[in-house]
Parts: sequence; C-alpha cells; structure tokens
Amino acid sequence: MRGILGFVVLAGSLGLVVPQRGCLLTALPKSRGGFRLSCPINTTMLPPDGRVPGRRCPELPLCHRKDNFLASGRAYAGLHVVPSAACAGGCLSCGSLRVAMGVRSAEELLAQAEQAEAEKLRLITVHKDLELEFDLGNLLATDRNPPTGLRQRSGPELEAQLQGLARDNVQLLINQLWRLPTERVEEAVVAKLPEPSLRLPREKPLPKPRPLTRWQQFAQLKGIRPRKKTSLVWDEASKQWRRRWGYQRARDDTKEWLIEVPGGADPDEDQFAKRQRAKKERVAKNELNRLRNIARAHKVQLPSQGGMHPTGYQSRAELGKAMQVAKVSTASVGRFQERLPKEKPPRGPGRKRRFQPNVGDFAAEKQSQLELIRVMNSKKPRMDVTRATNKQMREEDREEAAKRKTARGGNRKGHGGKRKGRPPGLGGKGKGGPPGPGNKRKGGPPGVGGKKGQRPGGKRRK
Amino acid sequence: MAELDRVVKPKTKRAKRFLEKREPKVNENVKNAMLIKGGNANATITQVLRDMYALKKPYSVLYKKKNITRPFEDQTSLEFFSKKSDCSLFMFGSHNKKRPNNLIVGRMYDYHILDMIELGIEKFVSLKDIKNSKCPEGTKPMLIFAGDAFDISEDYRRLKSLLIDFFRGPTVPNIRLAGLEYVLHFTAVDGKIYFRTYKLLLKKSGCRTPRIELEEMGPSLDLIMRRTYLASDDLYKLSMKLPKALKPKKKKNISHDTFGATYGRIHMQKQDLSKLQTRKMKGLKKRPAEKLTNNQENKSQKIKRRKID
Repeated sequence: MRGILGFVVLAGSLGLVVPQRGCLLTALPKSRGGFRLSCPINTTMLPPDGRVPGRRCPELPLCHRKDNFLASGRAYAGLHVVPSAACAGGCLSCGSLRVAMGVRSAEELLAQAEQAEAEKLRLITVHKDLELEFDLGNLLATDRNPPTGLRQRSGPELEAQLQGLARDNVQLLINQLWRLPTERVEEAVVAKLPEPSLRLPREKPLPKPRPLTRWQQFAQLKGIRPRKKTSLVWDEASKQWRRRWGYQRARDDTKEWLIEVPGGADPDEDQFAKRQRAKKERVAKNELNRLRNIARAHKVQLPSQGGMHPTGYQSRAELGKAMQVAKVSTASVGRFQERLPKEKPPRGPGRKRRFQPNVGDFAAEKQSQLELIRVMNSKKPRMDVTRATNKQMREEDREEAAKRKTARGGNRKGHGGKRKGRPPGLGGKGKGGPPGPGNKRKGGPPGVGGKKGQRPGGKRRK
Repeated sequence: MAELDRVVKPKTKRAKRFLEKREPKVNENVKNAMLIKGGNANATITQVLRDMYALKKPYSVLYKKKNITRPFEDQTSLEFFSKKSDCSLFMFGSHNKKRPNNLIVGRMYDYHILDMIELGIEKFVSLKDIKNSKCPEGTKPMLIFAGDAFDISEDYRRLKSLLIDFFRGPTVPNIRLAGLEYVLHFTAVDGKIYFRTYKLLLKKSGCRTPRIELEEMGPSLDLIMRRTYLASDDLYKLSMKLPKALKPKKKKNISHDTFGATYGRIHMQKQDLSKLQTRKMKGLKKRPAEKLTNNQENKSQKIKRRKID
C-alpha cells in the first residue's frame, strides 16, 4: 500500500485532489465519458476506453518514457494514482504521475481507505480506561488510571515502562493541544490557550482600596470634584508655554533675582529667605497631613489627640487634661496627691463595675429578661438613633451640595459649557433648574425606616 | 495596606517602581522560587537544587550559602527570605542521618508559609548525567500526573497542587506549538513518586497531529513523602479568594441546562392583536357604510381626547 497518494471512486463527477503533486483527476459527465487528469501545467483527457493519447507533458524530463500517463486497464472503475518510482524527484513541478489502473470494486477501495486512515491514526491514538483530565491553560493532564503496567520495582524495565506511560499521556495531551485554534505570528504557529481552569492559591492577599484622605472625604461629602489642570501654562515672562510644575516651570518664583519689599515690611528682612522658609513650612505641613491620614487610616491614636501636644498655645481643656494626666502619673496612681482648695476630686478612669444584688426585684429582673428575649427574637433590626440622625444630616448636606451644583449648572447652561457627569446624590431626571415642590425623593435615606414623612430621628421602638 | 501608603516614602522613581512591583495585585506576578540549602547538604541535594534552578530559571533564586534552619521547627527565617527576595515558592534541601536526602517543597501566602511537604530522595539522576540535548531556559513545561494516588489522600492532593504551582511557570494566552519542548511526568505508585523529565520529539504521523516520542532529559527523582505541613482550611480558602474584578460577570437572561443547551429570556412588548392580518375573506370585508361610521367614530374619539387634554 505504500506510495499511494489517493484514490478515486467514480460516482458522478467526483474528483480527488492529490495534494502532493497538484493533480486533479475528475470523471467527466456521462455524455462525454472519460476522465480529466489535470496537473498545474497541462490537462490530459482520458477517454473511457482507457487509451491515453500519445501526448507528453512538455515539462517531463527524459526519464519519463511513454508510460508517463499509462492507462493499461480497460475500465476506470477504480484508479490508483501512484507516483512513478523512477522520477519521483524530477517531476514535482508538473505533477507527472503514473496512473496505474486495475479493476477494483468501490467497496474494496473504501475498506482500503479506511484501513489507511486507521493506520495513520494508530500512530497518534492511545486507549485509556478512564479518560484523562486536561487543563490546557496550564498545559496539565491528569491520568486517574492506576498505573498497573508498572510491575518492576527498579532497573531499566521500570524506566522503560515509565517512559511508555509518559509517552501515551503526552500523546493525549498533544492531541488536545493540536486541536486548539491556531494562528500565524511571525513564521510561528501559535495556539490560543484557554484560561487555566485549575485554581491555585494566591501569592499575596487581595489589593485593598486606598483609604480616603481627610480632604477626599470632605470633598465627597460636599460634592466637590477634582478639577483637571493642564500641565502646560502660558508664561508671560518668557512668552512660551511651560510646565506648571517642576524643572523650567512657568512663573518660577525661585529664579527671581529681585523681589520688591512689600509695604509695611521690615526693610532689613531677607525676602528670599522668607520665601524659602514659607515653602519649607508648606512642605512640612503637607507631610504632617500625609502622616495624619495614614494614622487615621490605620486607626492609630495620635499623641496630639490625647490633648498633649507640646505647642505654644494650649487651650483650657488641654491644660486641664495635662494636669490630670500629670497627677495620676505617680507610683500610687495619684492617690496621695494634694488637691488645691475648691478643686473637684478627679474623676477616675471610669465607673467601677457593679453587680445587681443576688436577691432583689424579681419583677424588674423578669421584665428585663423578657425584653432581652423580645429584642433577640424580633427580626427587625434595632435602630441606632444617633447613627440614623447623623446619616440623615449627612445626606441632607450632600443633597444641598448637589442642589447648589445643579443650580449653578442650570445658570451656566446658556453659555454652552457642557458638563460631564453629575454630582453624586442626584437622580437621573430634573437636570438643570431648582427642583420644584413636586421633586419627590424616592424611598428615603438609608438607615431611616421605610415610612415617608417620618421625622429624621425616627421613633424609637420599645 | 502597609505597601499602599508607607510612612517612609520612596525617594526615587526607581525605588517606587521596585516597591510597586511587589505590591499585591489583582493579576499577580509569576511566582518566584527560592532554592535553599540547609546546614548540612550533601552533593546530591546540592545538585538537585541546581537542577531545579535550571528548570525554573528566570523565576528562581538559588541561595549559594548554607542556611542553618529547620522549616518544620522554625519558619521565621524562611519567611524572612521570602520577603527579602519576593519569592512565594521555596525548595529547601538538607541531609542528615534521620532524614537522608531531604527535600522540602513549599509555598507562601502573604509571606507566611501556606503548605510545605517533605520528600525523601531515593534515587537521583542529574540533568548533567544524561548526555543529550536540553531545552532552552524559560520553556514552559507540560505537566502530567499519573496514578490514582494523587486523588486519594489529602496530602497527595495538596502535593499535586503544590507541584503544579511550583513548576507551571507563567500563565500565557498563546503558545508556540513547536515550543512545547519538555514534559514533567509525575507517577505515584506504591507510596513512591517518580519524577521524570522528558524531552519531546515530534515525529510525522501522516496527519496534522504529530506522533510523540520521548527522550529522557533529566533530572529524574524517586521520591517518598515524609512530613507534611498543610494550611488550615480557612487560610487556604482565604488564599484562594478571587478578586472581584476577575470574577466572570453574570449575563442577564441567559441560562444553561445540564445538557449544555443555552436558554435566553426575551422581553417583548405587548402585541397589538387588533391589527393582526387574518385570512382575507369576502364575507369579512368591511362594507363602505361600516367604514364611514368607523371613521366618524374615530374622529369623535379624537375630538374627545382633545377635550380631555
């Protein structure tokens, strides 16, 4: 069977391309009879009686004798296209082939073809009891079959068996990989891998959102959005566009060689040094605020929040607190400290824990217990009045800000300035113009009970 | 959070970039591996670590000096190294009388040990001992696990996951088919794990898919499992958490059944049946008189509507 490139089953005008040689053998319609054998250079008509015209392909080298297109059979029921062994190398250009013919039944041919196909596939098929599991994104395959083939415990046989097992598994994985959609990227065939399906643990925890700074919080509350500044500004002095910040910036006040002494200032004061100092102070303040923001985000108690900061001015409350702290900072926690006349006794750190008497008011105890059970049983969450009030107030603040924004936006509308986005807290409708009395709020602010017309604090449920 | 806003700010752009590279991310970096020698390491262990370094190369760090530490007793120094070299995978080799040729494979989460598994090496053939061509460094390997043992016990399951994590390298969207050059084959039989590395030889098969032949490349190890340290379930679960941005978004109104068929829900407006064209028959034709009255009715309705408006 070696050397067979293809076969033709003659049914109607079925043709078969012999891809290696570029030849096409086609059965012509019954009215004409015969076949057409075409190669890229010329086409030969084969009559139905099997005679091949004495023409030769002009490209054929000398090694091809008369039998280049030999048709010795009587019938064309089956044609085998066999490359001529003698000139297989020389005639690739014109696709010359020797056409050997014999009488074969179609069934036989089909069976042969199937066999040939199976022969081809046999090289790449592997049978497994349990199918492998693939994760092509990781180029991973899992073979759940118990490796019963490995009988040897050691030695070269084991190695050979392991290699055999590995070969089969790799073949299966490769078969899967070759089935993926491919594309050509710079002379290389590239397969598109799917996402890995096997989940593996992460290396580091999930990234957390950056905590808002104090200004960002405030801006959010008031509905202030950051304005974009252009990076280039017009510099009047040099008459050109320059960067707003950094090297060679516009209006660079550190490069001035002369500064006017402001009216009412001390004439001997160094204005340059003053400017530099002011800049340093601004930088220091910014740094301090940055650290404060970090501390706030991490919920660290700042020393200044304890009322103990060593600045020049201390308020009355701060001083009082400082005194109190100083008083209790003794070995006996301030127990034996003297008091000034009319000074109130210091309030301790907190109340001492007091227990209820063991035998006491049974009715009150019963009531309190029942109340506790009722609260625990009820599905509705208890309302925290202060929280709800705060929330409501903040909501109102935000709405106020939004309203102001829209009011300004509405006035400006005539000038053609189109605004992107809308301030937070405003619904989709009612853009522009102050909201009239018909402006209904949907639902209510979160945290307040669902009823409309309830007062901000809400009713405390007993 | 400590990474996000440091108290001490980086002074140069380069330092900033360096720190940014190490921050937690939604799409994580490729895991790096550090290969560490213990206080006592013989030639076998040293060579094993070197070979693993060669396999993992762009994503690994080989520690050249001895480090006297025992990961199963004290993990702090490993955690320190992990933080220092930004590696979340490690392989620690040591050799002593009680546990000869000892190899500890492990991984970290948030610079703390998540899993580690101790393996004893019974037989070792180095990459250098097999004289044939090797594959270029940084090639992504194919991984194959054979044997039902990998699914039976929790230790083995975790070991499989750990080995995949260790060797898989970067996740790529595309792969050059000719670049599939070597395969790591793990076989678990009778309490032993056979680690083999083969080079792929692609042969012509007559169809598109090539026929595969293998050639041993090395390193190859016969391993047995010793001690294990596995993460608790909640820590493991935490480490497996998927960021919200990577979760597949639910598509509305599309559902699938168990057979893989897709169903869609379509919302339509109510059909106006009065304008439905039914079969035309002579008997159902409107007479001219009817048409007239109809028109009048329509007109009067229009007028009424206007009045309402």
